[in-house]
Amino acid sequence: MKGEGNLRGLVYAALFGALTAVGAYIAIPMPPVPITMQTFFVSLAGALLGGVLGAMSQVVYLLMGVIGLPVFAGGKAGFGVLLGPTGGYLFGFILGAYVTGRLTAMRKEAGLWWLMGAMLAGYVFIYVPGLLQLMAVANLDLGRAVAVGLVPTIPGGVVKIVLAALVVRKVRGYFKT
Amino acid sequence: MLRFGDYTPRDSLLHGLDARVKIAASAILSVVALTGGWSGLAALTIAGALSLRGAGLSFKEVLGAMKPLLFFAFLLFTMHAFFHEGRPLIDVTGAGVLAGLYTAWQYLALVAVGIFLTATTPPSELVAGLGRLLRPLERWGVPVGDISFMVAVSLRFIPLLLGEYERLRAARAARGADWEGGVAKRLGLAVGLVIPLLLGAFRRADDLAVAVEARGYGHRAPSSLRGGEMGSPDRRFLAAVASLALVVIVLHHALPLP
Repeated sequence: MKGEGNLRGLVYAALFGALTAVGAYIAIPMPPVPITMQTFFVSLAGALLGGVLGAMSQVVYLLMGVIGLPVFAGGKAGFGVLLGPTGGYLFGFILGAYVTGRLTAMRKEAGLWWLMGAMLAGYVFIYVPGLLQLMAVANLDLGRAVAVGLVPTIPGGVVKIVLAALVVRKVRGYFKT
Repeated sequence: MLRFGDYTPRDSLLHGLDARVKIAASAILSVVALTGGWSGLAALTIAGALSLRGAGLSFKEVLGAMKPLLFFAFLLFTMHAFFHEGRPLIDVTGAGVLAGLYTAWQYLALVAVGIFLTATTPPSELVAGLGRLLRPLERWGVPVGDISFMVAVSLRFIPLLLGEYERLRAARAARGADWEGGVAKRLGLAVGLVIPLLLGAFRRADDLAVAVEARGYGHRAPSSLRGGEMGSPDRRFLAAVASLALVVIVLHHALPLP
């Protein structure tokens, strides 16, 4: 996005922070587990706003949860959630948006495959801290952490990446103005 | 009726405290909920029940605010009861039930901490309090002013977006969209829902940016009427919360409590 750091950029980062919060409440019925749209908006924030503003949007999201608003998955709130078993994923949102944003910006007009690759790389940066913290806090070994915290989300994750890449190509024209 | 995450204007001890103190207290208490074990959860629940009056809330109100989340709590319970230690078990094990109870209780405790904070503090004070808590970071070049501005804006976008999403979903349903069918069809439906949501939101964001710019944002540090100095009730409350947390966590690690 043009003009990082200006007012419009700040407002858009705030918007994507809010979208990530709303994403916790939007569930698409998919087997085996319904998927929420949070990581979908993390991908969009990175791809549409760029690395820095995308990461800022997720900082804003985390701060809303820290000041007690029920924006984390399932309506949880509070600083403790960041230290809890699923807190690593939330820190990962910041990294994920940044990585997706930087990779997307490497191409002038990223194609569908490049976008999906950038988003997949972003997911890696969401899940690595997520799984590490899950292992540390819930005392799980790597195998169990992967079985609980990664495997059930793979089908939904694939769908979200495809969806996010399609949506980015449809709406990014809006950001050129 | 108190809705989850809403502010209730009352005249109570907790309402009168500094927002910074309340944010810090909720951070401490949510750490207790996560690390205090069974005894920590029990202490939190008792402390919460005892401080209802100090927050100007009734037991019924807090329970009502939690009601939409009881389903999630139940889901967490069954997940642990049936799938203890990651192994899918057909029969329910005692250890699984205990783990389920613990997780569900912990979840509700985290939700309750959030309800106490948001019910007793208006959003504008929460944002101002956050800004003042983060101020020391300015020394390292963190744009604290911009960040609190973004949190304040984001906060107002949430109900707007939720309303817009409901409206779009209802409009789609009225035109006969249903979620049955293959993955490709569901994807198509989702795209048809997300794109209008995004474009509508972008337009609102642009309008907002113009409106804020027209009011001179960024040319001068914003002034605020919110937040004075911390008084002695603030200090006493924070000391009480911190000592509760200390006692609970020390007990949990020193004694062979479950």
